[in-house]
Amino acid sequence: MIEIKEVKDGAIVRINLSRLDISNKDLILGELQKLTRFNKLLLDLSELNFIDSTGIGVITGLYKKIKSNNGKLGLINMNNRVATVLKITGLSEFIKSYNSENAFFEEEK
Amino acid sequence: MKSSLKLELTLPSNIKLIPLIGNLVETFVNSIKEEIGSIDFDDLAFKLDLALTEATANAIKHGNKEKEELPVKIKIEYFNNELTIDVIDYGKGLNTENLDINMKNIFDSKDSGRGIFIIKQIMDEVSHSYENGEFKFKMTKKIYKD
Repeated sequence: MIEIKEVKDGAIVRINLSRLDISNKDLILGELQKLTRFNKLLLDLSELNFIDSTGIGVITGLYKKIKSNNGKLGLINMNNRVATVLKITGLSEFIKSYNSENAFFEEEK
Repeated sequence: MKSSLKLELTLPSNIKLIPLIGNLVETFVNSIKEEIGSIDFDDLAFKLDLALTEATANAIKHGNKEKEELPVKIKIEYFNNELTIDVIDYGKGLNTENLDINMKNIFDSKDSGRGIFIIKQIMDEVSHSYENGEFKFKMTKKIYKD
């Protein structure tokens, strides 16, 4: 369901789901909780084609957790549909989207 | 000649069925593609998928309290350049007036409130009624042709 690639000071995590919604929230929540140990976490959303308010809640929860550990969460490879929902809910104002892995990992906090 | 297309279905209150319903409304929009003409088709299909996903999730979770034996009825209709979706549950009904959330507080908001907020952003009209034990949540999207 998720694929973790550990790098020097964090991880890149690809969500291998086409939909993240209320129907599969519980499955992914357990997986994502394992990620809060990373200081810098880049979520690769290239496989994701749909997200609902519950999915937004899942990402918001992860963001809060990482942030409370003084870490950083970023997004990469977001498609138009997913970007629309992040924009509507205002989440895109908090979680930044990056054009490349380097842009995320090399950026100063 | 005005064309129309209508679909009605009833499903048990099982949250696992939500993706199927979402995909169904996208297929519905696909079947009137010729009618609606040159609009951003993918955007429309996606928004109806999202709105129906949110409304059905509310009906199952907050309306029918996930009692599988309670049905959720879904009616989708395209008529007169409007797409209308009714979602009916058998709970007491959400007080949607109280579910308006301030998005400055996105981190404190509950999923149900966020869902209603999303629906209001992407649909043109939203209304609800409660009659004879049925709570009906109605959403309309106008199709603007070029």
